Amino acid sequence: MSFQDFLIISPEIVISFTAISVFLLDLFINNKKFLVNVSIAGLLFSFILTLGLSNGWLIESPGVYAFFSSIKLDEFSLFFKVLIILSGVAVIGSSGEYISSNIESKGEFLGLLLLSITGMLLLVSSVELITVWVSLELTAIPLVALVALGKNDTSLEASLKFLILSAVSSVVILYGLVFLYGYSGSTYFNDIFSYISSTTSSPEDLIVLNYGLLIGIILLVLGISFKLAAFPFQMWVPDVYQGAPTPITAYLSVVSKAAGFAVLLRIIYSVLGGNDFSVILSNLFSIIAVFSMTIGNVMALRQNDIKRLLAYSTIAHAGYLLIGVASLNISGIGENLYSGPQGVLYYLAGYAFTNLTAFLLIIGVSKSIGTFELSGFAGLRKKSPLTSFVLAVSVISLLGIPPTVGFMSKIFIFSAAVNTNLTWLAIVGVINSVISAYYYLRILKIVFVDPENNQSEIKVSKSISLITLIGMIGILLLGLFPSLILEIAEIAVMSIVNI
Amino acid sequence: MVFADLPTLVDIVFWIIALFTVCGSVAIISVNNVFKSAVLLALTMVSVAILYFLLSADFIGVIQILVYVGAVSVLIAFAVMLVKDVPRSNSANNLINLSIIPSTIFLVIIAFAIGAENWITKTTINYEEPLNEIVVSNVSWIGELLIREYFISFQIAGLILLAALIGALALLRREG
Repeated sequence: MSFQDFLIISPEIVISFTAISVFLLDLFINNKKFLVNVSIAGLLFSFILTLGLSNGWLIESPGVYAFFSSIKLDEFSLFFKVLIILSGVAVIGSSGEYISSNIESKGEFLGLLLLSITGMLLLVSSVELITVWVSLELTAIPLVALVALGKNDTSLEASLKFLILSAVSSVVILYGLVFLYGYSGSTYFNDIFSYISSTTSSPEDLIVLNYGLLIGIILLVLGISFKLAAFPFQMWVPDVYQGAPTPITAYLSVVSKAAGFAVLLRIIYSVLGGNDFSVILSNLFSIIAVFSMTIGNVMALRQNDIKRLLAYSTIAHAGYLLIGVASLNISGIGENLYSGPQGVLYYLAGYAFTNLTAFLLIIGVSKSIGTFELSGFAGLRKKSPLTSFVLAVSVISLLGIPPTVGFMSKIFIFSAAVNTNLTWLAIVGVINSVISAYYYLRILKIVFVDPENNQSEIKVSKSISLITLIGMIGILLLGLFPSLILEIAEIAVMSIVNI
Repeated sequence: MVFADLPTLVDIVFWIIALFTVCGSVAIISVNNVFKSAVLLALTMVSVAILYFLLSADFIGVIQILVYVGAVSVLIAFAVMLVKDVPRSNSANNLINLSIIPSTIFLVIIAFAIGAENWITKTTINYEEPLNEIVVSNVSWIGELLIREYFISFQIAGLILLAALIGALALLRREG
């Protein structure tokens, strides 16, 4: 271990120390607003460090290993680190008012959230099975407590469901990792990759001889689907999203999902690499994608609670994203080899803007109207035109109508599927988008057409207004100029591919 | 492979303990009394520890007994005693028939995978000392791994403990 090793994980070190200092300051300081500022300062400092790592101020160039090859800093992990830290800033920055009125243990709330962010950052850069698993636990355990910190009893129930399912999924992942280790004799991604490539010659060999590897990967994927909020571990999503404090719901729907996809992509492209093994995997992801999309969209049709509705919508979006994951270029020839994972990265960036905007607005509006029922949003247009406009932009982006980022990301994902001979999957995706139009447009109808049924005044706090406005600009900007992210995404994907 | 030659004493012990572990696990989920389940859990954990000893992982075996038998089972027993009427309230699950089908399928798949795979029997970690010395004292070897190869996982585990502790305290305050 050299000094450079610690420099490489300096963003994580800064955030975990911020978490510990928030725990300690909570004991002495009565002004809880100060704790929010400390958390944001810590996140911004680690953001600067992340930029430093990517620009060569701190280390020579990305693509280096640290701590006996357990951690790898490459463009891929930097992409996700920036995404996660900025989402964390948005969530904490906009929830200051929510925390002071709805959360009793304010210091613990912020500190645990920061610890979970630390876990996510370590997760996206770890290239060793044990580090991956331990980081996964670090992301999940603070979240169990965070979900329970809401004031109502549904929050406790949600937390219990989250705890049990998270434990089950962790065990499933661990079982998969054991198979991988037993198969290859190593916990390092690179060693497993070279072992797989050295022992197999033809695709038939790989499938017939290595049931252990196959079962290991399948268990791993099924376990990670808990993080993605995808089938078959999707049943916790509606209850937990509804019961959890809304900032935590926003965090779960964006950051947790992004980190899950990061692990999934890294395992596919770094561990299995250019193997023809991916045929089976592609089928597996297609099945999960179809089920996630269909379950999410069909169940969302009948929801009347906006948090529950968006929960089912995130299940559907996990399905769309998995189409991109399933689009593995099996032949290994032709252009746009990695258009699938590139699309996933672009989709995740856009989804972060879109979903954070939607959830943060819901925090602001529901504080004024005092309910999460859809009917409470009736007549929002008259009460607060700007809020309803921003909400409309984010809902349109979730639905996928131009000129928003949601439209462009669906285009990329579906065209990647068509490029890799998964046209049927793209068609299922399009049909599902049509189904989703029903419930997204229903939100717009309620906001813009329905007459108002209560006289409450809408007051959205300044921080929420600012962050959602930035979010809206991001949605439109990324939708009009997708190359802003796509070029970075291409470099990021290339940095994890083992050939 | 076990039956290739005459079974050795270790093989016989292994099969007895394995049978004991499986029967104990099935018994844990089939008795209705939570307290009896806790006791059975402790017994099963002891037999798992014996399996570790048979694999010459004596340190893991000792930790297994200390943590699972000494702490977890005792904690469950305390929880059962402190809560009123729990021993009788664990009614039989009516999904038991339904759950047999997927678990049997899972068992067959796993058994098939384990049987068909050519498992690798060495690790790629470079030993600094000869293997027979590591087998004699794997405490020092584990300690060395924790501060070398798995340094970062070890540190993250510390953060997990911190998060669990603070989270539990925050929940307690919420109750109060």
